[in-house]
Parts: sequence; C-alpha cells; structure tokens
Amino acid sequence: MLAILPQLLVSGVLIGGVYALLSIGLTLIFGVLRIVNFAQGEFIMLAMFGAFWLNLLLGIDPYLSALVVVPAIFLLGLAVERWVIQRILHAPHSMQIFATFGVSVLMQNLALTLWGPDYRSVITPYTSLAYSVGGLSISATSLFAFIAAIVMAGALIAFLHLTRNGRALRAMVQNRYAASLMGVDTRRLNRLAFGCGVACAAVSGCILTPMYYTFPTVGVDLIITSFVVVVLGGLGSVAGAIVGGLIIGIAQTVTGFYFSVEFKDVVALLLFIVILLVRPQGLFGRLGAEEMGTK
Amino acid sequence: MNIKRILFASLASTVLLSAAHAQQTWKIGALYPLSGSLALLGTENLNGAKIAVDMINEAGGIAGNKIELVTGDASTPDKAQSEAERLSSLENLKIITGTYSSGLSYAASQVVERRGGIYWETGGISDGLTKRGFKNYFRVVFTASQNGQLAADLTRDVIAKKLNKQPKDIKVLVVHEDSDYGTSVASAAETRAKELGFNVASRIAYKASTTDLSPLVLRMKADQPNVVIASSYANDALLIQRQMKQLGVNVDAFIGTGGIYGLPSFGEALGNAVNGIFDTEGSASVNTSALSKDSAKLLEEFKKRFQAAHGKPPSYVGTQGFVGTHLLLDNVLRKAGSLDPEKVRLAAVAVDVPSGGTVLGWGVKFAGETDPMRGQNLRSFPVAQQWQNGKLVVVAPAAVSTSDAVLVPLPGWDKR
Repeated sequence: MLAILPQLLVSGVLIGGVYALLSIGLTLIFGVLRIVNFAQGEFIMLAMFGAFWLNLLLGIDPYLSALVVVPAIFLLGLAVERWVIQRILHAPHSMQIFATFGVSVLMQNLALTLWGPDYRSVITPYTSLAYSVGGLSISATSLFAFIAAIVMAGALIAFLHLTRNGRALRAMVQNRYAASLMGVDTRRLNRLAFGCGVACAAVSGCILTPMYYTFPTVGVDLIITSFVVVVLGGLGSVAGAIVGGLIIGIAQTVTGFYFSVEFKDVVALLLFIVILLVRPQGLFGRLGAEEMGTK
Repeated sequence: MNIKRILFASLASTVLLSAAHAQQTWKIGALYPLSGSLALLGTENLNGAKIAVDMINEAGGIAGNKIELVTGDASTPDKAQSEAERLSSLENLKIITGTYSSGLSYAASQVVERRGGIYWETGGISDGLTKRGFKNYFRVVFTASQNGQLAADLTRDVIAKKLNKQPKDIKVLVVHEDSDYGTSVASAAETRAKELGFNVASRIAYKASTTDLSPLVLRMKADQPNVVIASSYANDALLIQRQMKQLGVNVDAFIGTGGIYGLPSFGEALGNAVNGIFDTEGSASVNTSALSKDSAKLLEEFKKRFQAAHGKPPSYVGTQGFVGTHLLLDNVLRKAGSLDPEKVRLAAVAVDVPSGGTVLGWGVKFAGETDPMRGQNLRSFPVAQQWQNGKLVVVAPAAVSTSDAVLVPLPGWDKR
C-alpha cells in the first residue's frame, strides 16, 4: 500500500494546482474589496460555456479560447462591479452575501435559459492524456492547470509589486482612506480589481473545460473547495492560495486513499481547523485582514 | 419542415384549439426539478410526460375533457414541498405527478398524501418511497434495489460467461456517490453480488460534487477488480473514466447503474472509450418483439414526436415520463372518469397490464395495501444496455435484448 504513496502525492499536487487556479481570483477580490464573491463559480461556468461554444462552433482549442473569453468576462466583471458590487461595498456583510449570491443565482438561471441543462463536453487530443515519468502518471490537463496557476499567481504578484496600479492597489489595501487622500482613485481600482478577479476565474474556466462537464451549476461544485483554500492560505494572499490549494489537494488525496474517499473533504477540513487554531489569520494572511482598510 | 407540413400543423392546431373551447379542462399537477443541478433529467422526464398529454388530447382527451399539466419547479426538497402545497391548495389539484428524483418525491408526496390527493411517481426509484404505506402513492418505475441487483445478475449471466470464470474468481468492486440514490442502488448490487458468490472487494462511497477521484481510482488500482459497478451522478462518472485512463487502471467490465451512464452526453464526452461500458436502467430501445402490438406502435409514435420536438431521441428518463403519464391518463383517469381521488385510486389499483403492455416492456400491477411495498408497480423491471459503436443497445435480459454483449474483457485504453 505504501508503494502507491508517490503517485498519491503527485495526484494530490496536481489537484492542488487546480484548487489554486480556482482560488486566485477569489482571494484577489477579497484582498482588495473585502467582499466574498459568491458568484465566482458562475464566472468560471460562463467561461467554460464560452470555451465550449467557441470549440463547437469555430473549432477553437479551449486553451486558446481564453484569448477571447477572458477579456469578455473581464468586461462583464466591470459591469457587475459597476451595477452591483460598488453599491454594497459599505453595506453590512449579510447584504453583501445576498447581493453576490443573487448574482450567482441570476447567472445560473440565465445559463439554464440560454443553453439548457445539458452536460456539454469538449474533447481535445490531450483530454485523457497522461505523461509517465518514472512509473508515475501525470495527467496532462491537471499539469496544464497547475502551470497556469503558477503563471497566473506570478503575473499577479508581479503586477501588484511592479506596476503603478498594483502599488496603488496595495496602498489601498493597507488604508483605503489614506490612499484616496494621496490621490488614488479607489473607485477605479476597485473596479479593476474585481475585473481582474473574475478574469482569473475565466482563465481557470477555459483551462478546466477539457476536464469537466460544462453545465449551468458546474460552478458550485468547482468553487466550493476554493473558499476553504482562500481562508487557509490567508484572505487576500495570492501565494497563500497556491500553498493552501496544495495542502488541501495532498491531504484529500492521501486520506482519500488510506482512510475514506467519502470523507476526504472531512479530513481536509479537520486539517483546516487545526491550522486556523494555530494561525487564525491563515498561512499567509495578516491578523484582522477582513476589517483592514475598510474604515 | 416543409410548407405542406407547416400548413397542416397550423390547420390541425386551429381545429384542435376550436375543439378545445368546447371542452372542459382537467388539470393535473406536474412537479419536476426544472432548474438547479437536477434540471437536465427533470426537464427530460417532463418532456416525455408532455408528449403523453399531447397524444391523449389530440385523440379527443378523456371523457370529453382536455388534459392540462400545471408545472411546478421542484428544484430542491424544500421547493418540492412548497410547490406541492401550492399545487394542492392554491391550484386545488387532486392528482399530482412527478418527480424524477427520489429525494424530491419524498418531500412532495408527504404533502399530497396529507391533503388526500393522488401522487403518481414516474421517476424516483428509492425503495423507501413505497415502504411508507401511503394510500394514494403509486410508482410506475422499478426500484433502486431491482436496478442494483440487475448489475450483479448481469455479471453472472453475461460477464462471468464471457470471461469463462466462476463467480468466486471474479473480484467485484462497487463504487457509488453517497446520496440516497447511489447508496441504495450500490448496496443492493453489493448484497446480490455476495449472494451470487462473487468476491466483493469493497464498496466505496464518494461525493458526487467532487472535483477529483484519483484516490478512488488508485484504490481500484490497488484492488485490481475484474468488474466495477458504479452509481454516479455526472462529473464524477467522467472523472472515474478519465482518471482510470490517466492512471492506467483497466478492468474486465464496467457497469454504470443508470443516470449519466445512459445519456448521450456520456458517450460524447468519452468518444470511442465509451464502447463496452454497461448501463443498467430502463430503455426505450427494448426489442419490440417483446412489446404488445399497441405498445410497439405507441413507442414508435412517441420516439417520432420526441425527436421532432427536441431534435434528439428520447433517453430512458424521457421515456419513463411518457410511460407513467400515458398510463395515468389512458388507463387510470379514463377508467375513473373523474378526478376524484378515491375513484382514481380504485381505478389505479384495478389496473392489470401484462408484460409488454407498456413501451418500456413492463406490465403494470400495483402492490395492494397488505404488501410492504404498497403502491409499487410489481411488473416494471430494469434492463442492461451496453455502449456499442457510440450507441446504447439492450443486451439483457434475453426477452427484451436486441444485441449480444461484446468487448468483455474490455480492451486496454490504448486500443479503445
């Protein structure tokens, strides 16, 4: 039974990469806007439908379709920020939850009305491909997802540290009021951050289209683990999303095999509770992040 | 559609509409999950039911009454309950049909039974539904136990023979999603497989909403079963197949127990790799020689209409909606001559259709009040199908099969 451990670790790292990919946008949005976006899964779903249709109608590879889908979802994100998020930024938490959850229900049912409830799939040459390295099997689609997660996180961290907008965003996260006194246009940056956050969701949607069925409620299944990953990694921390994703992925895979497939989530959640007991702010988070910068 | 057909259709509908004005309307509640995660099969089930209503109406309705389905969206058990309340109290409907999913049927039928209405189940298969002793609850379809048992029977009757092995030399692994559906089908399969003397390695449950099943597939790799029996929901079924391929796990035979395994989207997602996989549930492609003449004709008409309305052939779920609803209208309400629940109940209890009398090959006889499965149709049964050349064909039981099973043992992944 121990002979299979290396494969379990590899599989755990790969699914961890998928979790990280799904979580980066969520943590970015929380980090800047202090809002938990319950519609994040639906932006992923819309991107998957985008990739699916571009593949079906024009034969475009789902990875390539990101070039079209991601800008489109980014624009949609700007619109949602303009009409919904901006209006609830200073509202009580319960209202923020209702608003983003409302957007999620709306988008699910819009997809249901437009495209029906069918399970759609995109078949590519690499759909079930696996690389064999030293007797270990590495799923091509998961590997691409893992690479995409690392690249996306790297690009985001570079953006936050090296560009003017990025520095302004970080200043705003530290103290929104002071930043606006220094001439930072917080409204514009909020919108930009939300747009980027859902654009990350769109990237993950395009990357995951070859792996999963596309249907109106797929976002719910995909995003659920991300909430855990984001809190574990530290709210607002991009690097935390990567590390959190890997920890959850490995924990689930190893305990799923040795203990129980059904309770693999339970074990991951237990680990999550233990880590939070030791570090309530999450692995890479700062204490009080959920309140910081909102006053 | 050519001009002639359009003209004919509009003419026909004008005639029907004017005829309808002179008629009374009988309203029947139809509760299905039309949004949310069960929407696909809920809608499919309802689509089948609607065709039954159309056919009855076009043939003059029942006792001069036109039938109308009043739909309710039962997307969750809570909503099933509130929609059942709405239909039975606000709309004052005494006959309610549904529900595709067992969990929804439990919730909705509770309300209807309490209010003294008839609940006519055309889809939910959980055994417990007809173990409650409800007076006015009737279920047309087979049970989860029957479906699970068939998977084990198929292993004995078809797979063991092809492998030329004794049951004790065949290792069976049962995997299932952990809702009521998956659990009840899988435990029935496990129990039966043990009774038949198979070497049952284990039964492994998992969450249908999971995004990764590599631990499960690696357990398969460690156990090296000959046969896997799986009850799945949607993405989980796809994950099992794809991760089996990626992790290099192959088995002699793979049996899915209905749901996604019998849907076109499963075949589309897997391409050639779908061939050889078995699926146990009902089938709209049973051998028509096992059907009565009328049923065979009805089946053909149903398929034609479904294809015309939805651009695809009906799945089993669509067909069960049609069978159940057609039975309710043509055999029960017609005989009752009224929507009075007591008269309808008596008419239902009296139904006696021999095997082959419905388009799925089933007969109809409901278990009486002393039976522990009161209200269950004792003559319905699942069949075993297999994906061959990208299509499902019926391979067992022999009476309704159209083809022989092939690809046992399954070829390696590189040869599929």
